[in-house]
Amino acid sequence: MEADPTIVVPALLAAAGLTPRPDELAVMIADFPARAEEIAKLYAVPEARYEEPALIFHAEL
Amino acid sequence: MYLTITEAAAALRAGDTTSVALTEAAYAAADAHDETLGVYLSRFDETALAAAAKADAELAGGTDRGPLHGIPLGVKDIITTEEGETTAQSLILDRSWGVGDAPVVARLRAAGAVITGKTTTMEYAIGTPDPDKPFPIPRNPWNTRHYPGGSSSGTGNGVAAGLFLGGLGTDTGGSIRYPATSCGITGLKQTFGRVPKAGCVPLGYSYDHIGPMARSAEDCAAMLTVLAGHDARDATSVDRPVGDYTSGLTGSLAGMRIGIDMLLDRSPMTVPELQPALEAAVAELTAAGAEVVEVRLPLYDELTSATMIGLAAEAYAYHQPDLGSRWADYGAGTRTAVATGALVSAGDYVQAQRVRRVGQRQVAALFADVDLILTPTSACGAPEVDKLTLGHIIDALHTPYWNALGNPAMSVPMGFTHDGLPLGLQIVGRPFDEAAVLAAGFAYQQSTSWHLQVPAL
Repeated sequence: MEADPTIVVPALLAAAGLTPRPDELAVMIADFPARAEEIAKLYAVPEARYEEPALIFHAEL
Repeated sequence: MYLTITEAAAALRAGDTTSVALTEAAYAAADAHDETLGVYLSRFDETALAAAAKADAELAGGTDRGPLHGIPLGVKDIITTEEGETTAQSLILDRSWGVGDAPVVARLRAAGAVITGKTTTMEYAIGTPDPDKPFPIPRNPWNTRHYPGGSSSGTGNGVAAGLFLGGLGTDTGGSIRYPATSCGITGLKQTFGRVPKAGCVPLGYSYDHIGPMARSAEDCAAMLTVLAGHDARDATSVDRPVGDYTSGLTGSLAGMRIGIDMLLDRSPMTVPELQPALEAAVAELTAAGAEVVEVRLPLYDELTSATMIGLAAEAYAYHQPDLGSRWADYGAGTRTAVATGALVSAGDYVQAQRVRRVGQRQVAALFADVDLILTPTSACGAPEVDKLTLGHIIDALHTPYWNALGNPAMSVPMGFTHDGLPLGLQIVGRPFDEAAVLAAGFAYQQSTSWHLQVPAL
């Protein structure tokens, strides 16, 4: 079941302590499904299944 | 005003001009046009003219620091300079942050360049201009109703309008290449790690680049030769030998194999002028000796998303404390763009980084068959300022793909839309093969004059 953006987006923003204006919140809610679809496509790349992430970390400073 | 760094450098050495004269001409252009174009956030007239006088004295005394000696350059105002505070075009940034010259600025100065001032940007290099904030709204010199592209807006429109001969931009999803294509100039995002970014306000730590913007590929080569090289103050800086990027600019592309993906179906905003412009560019590169073949970029949507999602998450981490307490002090376009990072989970972020690795492998396989890849920089000309949205920008641009991968990518002018707005050709190379990118751009600019077109102001 897909998450309802009218619930998820305000909840995530509130958890982050962010207080957008109502018109800004409406745009973020409207944009959320497209972004969720983009993220789903990232998980659907089969070659990424056993790939290492491109993160930056060195044991020595 | 001379059009290119190369031309001005020759005139300096021939005794046809002086650095003081170049700098005064640059400021005269700023006096005439900056109020309309919104190029500068701050000018350094006094120190710049003093530096120009010093450059002239050095040349007269036989000290020649190279092609940037005495050349006026602008610096995007997210990069620190010793003359004054860095604002990131924001009410938020602590003005005590970033004292002194960033390594890139120090390198330009050591090469004799004259820093004329700090140029406009999108706030923190992301979002869209906010007319309710006390900062200039940058405009396109080809049509001032239109945007000059961003986020390196002031360096882009400043070069195009002759307010300086070159400058520094930064590029996290296309912020050098977007104003370059929009303003009809050349802009290079070199390989990630090639140029140190210490002293630069971060946007997306693993996507950010500082790079040169100027009229020509030759000028960008001269600047990159100075800018490139390791600096341990940037954890992502790479310690590899730096060449003289101007030495390989022969005009011949004999033996070079170039792939092209026109990406015409990848944007709903593709204009009909784009395909013939690309075909004409292919003809020029073929005439220069290259073999051009069609290729298809792998994982186009996924790698574009990996940039946009990853940079949002990285930007959000940087901005979270201020975003929560000073929401209204941010520009409207900036705060909503950065806040999308709060909607990305940690797992989603890591997945984006895994897809980047997959993309690196698949694009490296593509580069086993070709030396360079061409695409349009953008699907269309720059939008009108009053109709600008971040979604509009992202839909049109073909730049973010390469920030996920880190390859060097340069935009060169390749014509105009029917309503007179510049279009750009993106030339991409293997990691750390900026020389090939610049060689192709130089060859293209030997047989075309798009980069020398000057807007009527």
